[in-house]
Amino acid sequence: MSARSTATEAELVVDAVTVRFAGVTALDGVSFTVGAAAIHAVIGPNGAGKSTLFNVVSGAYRPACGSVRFRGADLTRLRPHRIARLGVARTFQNIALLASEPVEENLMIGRHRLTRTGFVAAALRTPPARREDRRHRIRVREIAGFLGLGDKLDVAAGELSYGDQKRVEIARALCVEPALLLLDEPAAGMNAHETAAMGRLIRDIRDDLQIPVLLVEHDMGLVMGIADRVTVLDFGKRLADGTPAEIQHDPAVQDAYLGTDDSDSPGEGS
Amino acid sequence: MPDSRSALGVADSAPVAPARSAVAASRPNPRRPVTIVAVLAAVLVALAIPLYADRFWLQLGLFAFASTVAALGLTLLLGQAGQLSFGHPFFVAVGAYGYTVLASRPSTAGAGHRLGLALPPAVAAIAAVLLAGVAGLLFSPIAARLRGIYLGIASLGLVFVGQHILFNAETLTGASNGRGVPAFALPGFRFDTSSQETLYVFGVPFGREEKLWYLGLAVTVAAYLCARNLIHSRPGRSLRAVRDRELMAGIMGVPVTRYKAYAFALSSMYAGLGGVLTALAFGRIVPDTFGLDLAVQYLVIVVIGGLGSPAGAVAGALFVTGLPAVLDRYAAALPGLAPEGSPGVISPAVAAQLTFGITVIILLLFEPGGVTAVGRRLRRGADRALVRARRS
Amino acid sequence: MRLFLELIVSGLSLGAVYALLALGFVMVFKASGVVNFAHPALLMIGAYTTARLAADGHVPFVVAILAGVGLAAVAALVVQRLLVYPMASRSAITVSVMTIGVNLVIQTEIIRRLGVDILPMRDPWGARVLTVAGVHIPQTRAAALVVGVALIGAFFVWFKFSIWGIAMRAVADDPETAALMGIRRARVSALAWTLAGALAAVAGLFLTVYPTSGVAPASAAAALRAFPAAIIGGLDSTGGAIAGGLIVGVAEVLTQGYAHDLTFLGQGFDTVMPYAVMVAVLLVRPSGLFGTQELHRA
Repeated sequence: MSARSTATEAELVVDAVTVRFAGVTALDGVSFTVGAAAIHAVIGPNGAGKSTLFNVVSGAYRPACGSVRFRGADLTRLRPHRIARLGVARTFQNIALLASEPVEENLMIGRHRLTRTGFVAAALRTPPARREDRRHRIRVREIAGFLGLGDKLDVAAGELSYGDQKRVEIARALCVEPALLLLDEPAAGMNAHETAAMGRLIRDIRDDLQIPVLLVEHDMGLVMGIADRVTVLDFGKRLADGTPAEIQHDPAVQDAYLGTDDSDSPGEGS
Repeated sequence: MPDSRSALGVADSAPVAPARSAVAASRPNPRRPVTIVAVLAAVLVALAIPLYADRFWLQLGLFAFASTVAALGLTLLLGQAGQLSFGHPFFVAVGAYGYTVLASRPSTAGAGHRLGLALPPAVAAIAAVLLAGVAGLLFSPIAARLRGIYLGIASLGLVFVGQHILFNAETLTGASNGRGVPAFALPGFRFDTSSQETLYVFGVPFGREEKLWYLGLAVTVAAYLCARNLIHSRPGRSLRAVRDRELMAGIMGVPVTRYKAYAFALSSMYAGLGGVLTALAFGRIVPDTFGLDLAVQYLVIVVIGGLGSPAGAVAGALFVTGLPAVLDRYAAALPGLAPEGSPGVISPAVAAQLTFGITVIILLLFEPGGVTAVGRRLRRGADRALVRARRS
Repeated sequence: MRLFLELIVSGLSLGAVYALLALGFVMVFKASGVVNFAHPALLMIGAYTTARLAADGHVPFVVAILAGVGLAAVAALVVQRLLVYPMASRSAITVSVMTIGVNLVIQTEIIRRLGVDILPMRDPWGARVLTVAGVHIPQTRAAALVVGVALIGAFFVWFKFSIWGIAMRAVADDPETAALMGIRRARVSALAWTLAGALAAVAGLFLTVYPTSGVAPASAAAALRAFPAAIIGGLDSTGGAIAGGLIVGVAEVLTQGYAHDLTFLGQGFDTVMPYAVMVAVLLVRPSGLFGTQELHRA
């Protein structure tokens, strides 16, 4: 892989994206950019349009207008599997694993875009198909080990604890060998200790892979602790965009979203 | 190629503990003693049957092979891809009539003109299977866009439209009179009862049924292995992802629409192959065979065997094909049953249908894994007993 | 022109009968998420019971009808309580496949009772024909149209205004919120099944009177045409079920009426026509004419 030039160059460009559902405007002209190897958080209250934004970037929704570009490619008109081929990987807030299948098989789904075996080769179990399977299983086990799932590869995903299932979600996204990672509320339902560990994990991933990470998260401590940049959404509109420090001192954000009470101010407990 | 630029994984490349949990046991493991013994025994029995069994059983076996192959396609479609289809008989008919038309000589004798291409039977069989696959692909713009349950109903249309064509396209199908099916042949070997020289194997005269038995067995085993391989491979896994989490599958890079279309075409090819075997087993095919009843029969096979399980398709096909024939043969000896036509008593056909319906209901209520799940339990029990016996 | 009018009226009346079937089918789908493949069996229970009682001649025909409708409704309720309800946590496809088993058992038993005979309905309308403004229409078809329209009208008034109707719509829209509001899905589902059974029996009556000769194993094939009707309208749309039923009825009768001009389609194309229409509609609109389109693209 070629070396990346500068860390400030914008890799993901979200440009004036608007999404409407049956009269409701879920996203209203939202724009922001994510730099190379940046951790970019999108925050906002429930219903602010964060998940909709994820669904637009990953291709599940088509915006009414506006565009999403990643490394120069326009994602707006692409179907999800084409976007995946560009190396865009995501996790799902309400866990989307195959519950009855072992963790290893769930992770192998992440390898889909990197593997070739088709129906005929698979049915005949041709030597190339077997070699490919073996090679990718090695990598999948490596990634599982990195996430501490090494001893759970044979366990059905549905039998894992909630926290482990979240890690399988992330591991599967990493199995895509992503060029852009979207994490949908990775710390939801976790206690402070687990949340801190998740923060470290996200940082490690970024440091190792040198890829941009787009993060939707409720936990302010986590966001302010690890994000390089933050976009605040409210009722589908962009309320603010800047570094965590700028966001913390942005009066509009404090008024509309965080409240003026000091004890609620972001940054505490990070 | 796995990407090597990252330190990810290298940072923590401690060897993965090869802890095999209980779930691993549910994956087929061909190396377990009970499995090996069972498979060997089944193969030996299957190979020896033509030496001992009479025509009735051989003919029944041919139908069972045909049903198995078609049902394998349906279990892949319904169990693995999550698409319900009543349209299977249509594709079975494409295979059956496709083979017949391609392998027959054209004729004008008797009932009018009949089309035929007089291809070598082996070529005709392969072409018929491909034809069924193409037919499946043609329907796939509908199949791939519909959710599983919508497809179930939409595919009803295929059965009725298909039968309508069979009854009306007389030069191809012979309409309600049907068409005779040309014997299968490989270069230098014909699968029929030869009048000039009779083939003897271990002193047993080998006629049409005996020869076709081995053909059916070989085709069924091959079809079974292909289905099993597919399930444990990249396409199989991705199909299950599409079945359970369509959105996720797409975002992981699975081309959802195309995969659904492939699954439908694949199951159609299985149906087509089953159709070729059906045609050979009957020797003469008529449109009535390929109706809604056949669709229900395949569904019953797949459910009894356990959705998505190739081994289950084999067991289900044996049960569903075998039961009516066996009941019929022994009707006089069975209490409460009487041969077809006697009033006021349950005929073997009715008894079989009721058994199928009730079995489907009970299995889905209590053991959705079907016979395969029951079998797995028994096998686990046998394994445990074996281990215990070895210890003592 | 007169032929065309007659065919349209006849088609609409047949369509109203299909609409009753499709309506019950859609109702069950909306309330319990299950595609009920045992719907033809419910129809057969109703038609067989009515015809059998009428043939025995001990009770007035109205009572025979009520008995048929009642028995079909009870049978549907039993299926829901005994078989569908315990499978609530399972996938819709699994439950739907289970109903194929139910259909198989019931149909086999009824066909066994019928034997090879056709059981005539012995209804009061017979083969009499009405003439309205020069248009001939069998009395049975007129009755079907009147009853069908009345039942459909009553249904929509009930669906819109009664507590149960509102509950049913709420469950179909959003089962979780409905549950939070105290609506018991199981009860709503039971009601939907019962109504569907009753409607199927009424449809069964009109599908086995003149011009059909009576209850026969083939009667269930007519019930199957309610499936394309429901799909054409959209599986989750009650209004669509009515539209789909009418479309299927008119298409079928027109094809039959103009069979001489349509010989290139082959003999008996009228029975295939509903499915042809369905396939055509699905190619353009995968969720039917009035069905909910899916939000996600994949």
